[in-house]
Amino acid sequence: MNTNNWSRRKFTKAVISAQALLASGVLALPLACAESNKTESDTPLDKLQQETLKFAMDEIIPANDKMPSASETGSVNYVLNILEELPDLSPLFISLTDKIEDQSLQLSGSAFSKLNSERRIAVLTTIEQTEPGLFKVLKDFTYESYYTNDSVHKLISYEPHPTGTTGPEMEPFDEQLLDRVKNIPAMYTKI
Amino acid sequence: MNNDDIDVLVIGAGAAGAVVSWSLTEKGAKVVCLEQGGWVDPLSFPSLKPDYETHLTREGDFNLSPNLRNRKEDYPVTTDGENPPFIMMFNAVGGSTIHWQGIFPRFHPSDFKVKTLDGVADDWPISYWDLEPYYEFNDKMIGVSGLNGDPANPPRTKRPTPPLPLGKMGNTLVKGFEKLGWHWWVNDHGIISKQYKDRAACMLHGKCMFGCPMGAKATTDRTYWPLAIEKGAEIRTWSRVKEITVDNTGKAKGAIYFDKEGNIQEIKAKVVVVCCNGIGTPRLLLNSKSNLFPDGLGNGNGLVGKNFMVHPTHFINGIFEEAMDGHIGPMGSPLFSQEFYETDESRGFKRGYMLLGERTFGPLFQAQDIPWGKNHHAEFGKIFPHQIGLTVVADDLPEETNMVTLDDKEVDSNGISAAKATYSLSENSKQMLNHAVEKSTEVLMAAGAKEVIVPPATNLAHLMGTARMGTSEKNSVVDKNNKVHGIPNLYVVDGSSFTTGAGVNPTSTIMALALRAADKIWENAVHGKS
Ligand SMILES: Cc1cc2nc3c(=O)[nH]c(=O)nc-3n(C[C@H](O)[C@H](O)[C@H](O)COP(=O)(O)OP(=O)(O)OC[C@H]3O[C@@H](n4cnc5c(N)ncnc54)[C@H](O)[C@@H]3O)c2cc1C
Ligand code: SF4
Repeated sequence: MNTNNWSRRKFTKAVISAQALLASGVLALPLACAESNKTESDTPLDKLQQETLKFAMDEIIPANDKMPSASETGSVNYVLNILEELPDLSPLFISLTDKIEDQSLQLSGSAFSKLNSERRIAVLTTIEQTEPGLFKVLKDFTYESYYTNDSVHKLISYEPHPTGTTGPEMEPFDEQLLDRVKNIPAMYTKI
Repeated sequence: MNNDDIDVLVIGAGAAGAVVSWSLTEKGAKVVCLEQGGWVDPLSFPSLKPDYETHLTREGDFNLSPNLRNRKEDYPVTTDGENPPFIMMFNAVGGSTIHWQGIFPRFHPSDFKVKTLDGVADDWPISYWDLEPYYEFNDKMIGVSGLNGDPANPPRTKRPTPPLPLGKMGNTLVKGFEKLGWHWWVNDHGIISKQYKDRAACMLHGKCMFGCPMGAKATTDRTYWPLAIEKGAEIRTWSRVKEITVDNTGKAKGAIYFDKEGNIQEIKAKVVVVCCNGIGTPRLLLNSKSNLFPDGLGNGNGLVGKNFMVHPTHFINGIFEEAMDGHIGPMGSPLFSQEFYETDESRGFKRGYMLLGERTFGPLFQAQDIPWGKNHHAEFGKIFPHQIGLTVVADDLPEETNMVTLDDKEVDSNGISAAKATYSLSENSKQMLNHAVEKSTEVLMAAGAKEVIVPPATNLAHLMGTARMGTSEKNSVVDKNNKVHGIPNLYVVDGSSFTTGAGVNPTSTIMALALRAADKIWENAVHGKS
């Protein structure tokens, strides 16, 4: 049997069902990562590590009068869900939280969560300079959790319009806009 | 199809491979295509999910770069040079059109004659007018949207579907171009604005680079391939070609490939057509060494892999007071300007560039350069949703020092040598980019921008020039019909065969060339020989 014909048939079926589902608008898949709640016992980071991560993420994206902080939008849970899906990343986050705590002890002799915001920023800035790769993990996942979050999307008036939904309304192109350009003589080199 | 019956073996099922396979099957040839990737299930597209942007920023499955995607079917491409290129491509049925934006401009007639007109690089051995009927035919096959009548280009027929909407950002750019009295026009797009054949009209989501399950975007798995297969073409997916084989007279015999299970298979055909793109094609030719061809196939003059072109670019952003909603609308480009396309010696460089009004990705992407910490929200609020992008597509002239070679360390999942792409900007390109930055800033300011941000120069996903077409055996790898010099039944049909890069996106020209080459293959190597 030629398995590729089978793949091709499967592809054709998938195309037809995709078009049908898309037309019905039911394919707006929820963001699994942001949704579920974890208990401490079934997570790859312990309570202290989660607390370190929460305080660090909140310095990366803090709250202001209009916007929530990263952890208020569920950023720690977001990471825990990713670690569940991609357990290979766990050692990276454990190194990150260990590094933050080490640095905190070195700079201020205290746990990261006990520092004031200014000292926490100093700890993170040092890590940003000395361990840019590790710092990038913290920054990238904080931004990712934040800017894929439904409540943040609402606050910044962003509608993601995934392809499973109907798209935005847009005015059709108005050809009159080109009236001037249409009268420009040919601009290309004739050869 | 029985292995002994094959007229034409096509390698690579992307834009060019699909066109060649369809055209030759339609004429009556027995065609088998070997493709290292598989069919992409449209229900697996990231564009279906609100978190689609994570695929841009994170390594893994749908990243634009094969080096960050690391699927089994991807091969590593290492980089070098003063301006190492960011490599983008997709390996599957449909090839890089799975990711592409569908911006569909044509070359200008002058692009084919740069030596004659400007004294640079080389002339193509064919002219715009040789390709013109094929451009037209291809536009109808895929249902291009747009508007005819642009004074910067030769006339073309009414576009099969009307232009896509401009949106707030497009209309704002129009104000800038109008104020300065510069040329602009709505882009031709490989995205249909109305239902066309059995494909649904674009619904304007703007997630096009993350897969278009609607089929509005012309990926070749939805356009040419279904027609080719209906006519009898066969695609063997998960089949990675290791080398093209030759007989003792120096004719191409077929290919040796790894199947899905990693077993070595051999296939024979009367004609072999390589469509693996501007990196995959030289890689395969260079990997096809034999006693007769110790430096790789078609490489007698050492030109395979040389003259690599990628279209240098700047992604320039204007920041406006008002919301511009640049993320709303199809992720192609609503409009372009070719005010600075043809050579004007007073500018200090030869040839020219196009400016594309470019939509932006969503908030995650736009936040990437925003500083963390106390000022984060204030800084983010300045740019989102207030940005308008202008992308420069600078004419990339060939340089022998820009090249694709085999990497001496890295290999793919089958142990085949990876590719290495070396690229440095020429002085001409640097001057051109400086001019483009100045002019982009001028038009964005004229449109009302309060600030213009110019990130460092980078490159587009356009892979060209590495098995160039030429007027003589000395200056090229293939002749005017895409046939490899010295090998009567081996053809290279993709962006590798470009003699020069022009200042426009390449795929309409790749597809037109593929239609023309298929006619020539049929006349000279299949039908003519039967
Ligand atoms: C993000 C992105 C956006 C783009 N936007 C545009 C745009 O707006 N306009 C435009 O004109 N162009 C655009 N492009 C470029 C466009 O996609 C390419 O020009 C076009 O797809 C090239 O066609 P091709 O057939 O030469 O190569 P590809 O489409 O890349 O296909 C080559 C195929 O060959 C296969 N292959 C390679 N080596 C082997 C081997 N050894 N054995 C078997 N199979 C092999 C690959 O798996 C692949 O499927 C874009 C590209 C990207 C990545
Ligand atoms: S905007 Fe149009 S082309 Fe892009 S994903 Fe949606 S339907 Fe497809």
